[in-house]
Amino acid sequence: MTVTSCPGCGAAVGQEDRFCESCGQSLLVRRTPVGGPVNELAGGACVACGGENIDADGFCADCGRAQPSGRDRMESDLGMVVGVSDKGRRRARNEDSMSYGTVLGADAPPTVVGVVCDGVATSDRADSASQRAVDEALGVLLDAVLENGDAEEATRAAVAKAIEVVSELADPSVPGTAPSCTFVSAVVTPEKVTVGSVGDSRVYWIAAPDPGPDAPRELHRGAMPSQVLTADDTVAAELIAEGMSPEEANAVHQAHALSKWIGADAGDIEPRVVTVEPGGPGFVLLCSDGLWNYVPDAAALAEAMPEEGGMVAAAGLTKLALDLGGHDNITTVIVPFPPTEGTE
Amino acid sequence: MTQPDFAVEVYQNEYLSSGSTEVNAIVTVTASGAPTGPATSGGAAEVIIIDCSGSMHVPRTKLTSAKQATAAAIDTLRDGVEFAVVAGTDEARRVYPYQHGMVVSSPTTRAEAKQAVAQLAANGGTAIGKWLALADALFATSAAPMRHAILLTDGQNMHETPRQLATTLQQVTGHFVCDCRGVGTDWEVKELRTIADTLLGTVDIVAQPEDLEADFRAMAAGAMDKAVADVSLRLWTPQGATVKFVKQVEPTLVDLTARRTDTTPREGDYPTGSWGSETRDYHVCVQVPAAATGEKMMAGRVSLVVPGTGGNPDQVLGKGRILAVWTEDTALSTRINREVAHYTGQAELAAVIQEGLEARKSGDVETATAKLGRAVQLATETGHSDTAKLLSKVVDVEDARTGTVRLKRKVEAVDEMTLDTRSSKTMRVRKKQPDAVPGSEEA
Repeated sequence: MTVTSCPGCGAAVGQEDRFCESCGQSLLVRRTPVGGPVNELAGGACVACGGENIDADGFCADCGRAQPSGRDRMESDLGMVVGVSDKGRRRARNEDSMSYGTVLGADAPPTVVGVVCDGVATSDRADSASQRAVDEALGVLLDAVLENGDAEEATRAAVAKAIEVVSELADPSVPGTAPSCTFVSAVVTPEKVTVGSVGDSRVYWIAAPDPGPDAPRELHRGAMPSQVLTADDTVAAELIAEGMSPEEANAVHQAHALSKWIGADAGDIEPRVVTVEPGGPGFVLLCSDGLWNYVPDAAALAEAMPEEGGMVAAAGLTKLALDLGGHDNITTVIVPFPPTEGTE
Repeated sequence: MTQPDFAVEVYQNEYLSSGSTEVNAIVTVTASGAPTGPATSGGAAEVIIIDCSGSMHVPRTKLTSAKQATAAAIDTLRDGVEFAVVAGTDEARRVYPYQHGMVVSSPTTRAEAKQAVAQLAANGGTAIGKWLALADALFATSAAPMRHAILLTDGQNMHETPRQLATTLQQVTGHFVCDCRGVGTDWEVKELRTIADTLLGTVDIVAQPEDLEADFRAMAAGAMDKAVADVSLRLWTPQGATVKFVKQVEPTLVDLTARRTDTTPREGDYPTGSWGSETRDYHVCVQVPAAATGEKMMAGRVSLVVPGTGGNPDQVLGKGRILAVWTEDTALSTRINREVAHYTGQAELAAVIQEGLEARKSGDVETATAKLGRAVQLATETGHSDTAKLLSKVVDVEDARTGTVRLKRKVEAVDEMTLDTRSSKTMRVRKKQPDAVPGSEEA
């Protein structure tokens, strides 16, 4: 691959350069910006009344409606990975965060890394917690890829880093409100997918749709069936793991409360880390419970996901959750598998 | 002349349960950095109106005290302030200056004015509308932006019809601010309150004539401390919204709702009169179209409009946002904002006192007992001890907590009138740190 200008600052770079002489950024890495892919207002008409006078603070000067901005709806398309994070219909703010990046042209094969964290609504500044967690964790994972490190080890290091930075946000004078969040990550190479998880956000493997009998032979490589790659850290999930029936477990008090999370009050925790080899084409889907609560079943998710992939798929799944009620923040990150340069 | 800075702070619970449409907010406006008075610039004009009807002789101390009080007020006027003194009977007469119009305050003119006042005699009736009309005509000869009048009366407006008074009031509204005082117990609280409210001034009872002097001095001094006149509170509301009310709730209760002047299709101005360095609170209630859960709306935007001086355009100072956020989280939507609750309670307290006294006057014992009982309960709950004390002179309190009272058989007129007059005085709520309030900023 040939890079002629820095993707970060736009400065011209030499063919053999690995880092931008101007801003110091790695030329092999593209990633979502620190702080999140927070878009400026698109400008134009009010979402509620169609009026065209939006004031400097983002309110419509006719109907008063606050315009969606910043974290309310974050979108970013890096080609090899796309994501949408939406406030949903019921929450006052978006406490989910997402970050992702690609590494191309390094000694490693083309690799995509994604992280999704869901801020715990009952904690203080949950949005800052989730954003710091995804930014720092992504940095750790990308560095590891550039250095050809072990993906599982890097995942544990990323979780440790997330715990460290989120803990720094805690105000020791106000116990019980320490900022906290969930965590899922995926490191996707042409052969393997390594996922890490803490809490109830999920990573799914979505097998590509059957290409039909007339499709070229190489598309018929048998991928593993669509499935959840993570396990929830919730009270109910732990009870089920201990042998209780799902009906009984889901009925207990605070069945869906987290049994593990990222935060100063999280205690000494380790993420679940697994690596799979999908064996065929498909998608790795990272999401918060704002999506999977509506469509928990992997096969149903595969069915619901628009075939076009890319932003259409991410936006489509988000809309599905919104249409079903949008009770929580909805974050969807999709990585086509296997990652190839051509998808950019 | 430097103008004060206006800062606007908004106190509210912006969370509404789904389907709710009423948004309440307390808007605190603080003017600061006002100069210590318009002394040398000739920016202020003062007219003192003294009742000289025949009854001012009964008792004799009334007129004597009124003259002393007027002299004290004249002494308080700074050099350069334009002023005049009006004697009111069934006619209105300029007592000073001897020639037409107003005169600039100086040691000489103040001495002359006091001399003219000393010679006043009481004789004739009461036609307050005519007094106000003369004051208005006098102010019209002055270019001073800060116009303030003091009106003292001891009786009801007997020598003109309520309609005549109302017509005059309408004509002079907005031309000057007028603080009204009733001396003795033969005047009508409602009548004087209407005048004071319309002319954005205060109303009070001065039961003892000898207390007039201090009161007049304070009123004149207050007028001297004003730095900017004709300030309006501007309220923007969204399309489809209705302003349910805009009330000044501190330092006194004044309903400004009907005083709106539309400026643009979404904005209207409410008059607030003259300002020095001071703080006032307003209760704004807006009905907005409901939006879906999770939506956020600016339900109102409050700013202050200060008229431009020397041909400059009006200045819009300070800005506070009133918000509405719809949520299904009842922990948020049921939270009671203490500022809104406080002033809602104060408004109810004033209303039940006035309604209770009205019912008592018309012989409706049942309504009077219920209303005044509720007043006792509210005054006790909110720690309004001055009002509770005044109430105890009108009713026998059996249980303040439940508001169980009995009307007193014999009530002194002065106690009843004091309670009525002071019912619209409010008590400031102790504020939380304004940092809890998004959407407010300083000018």
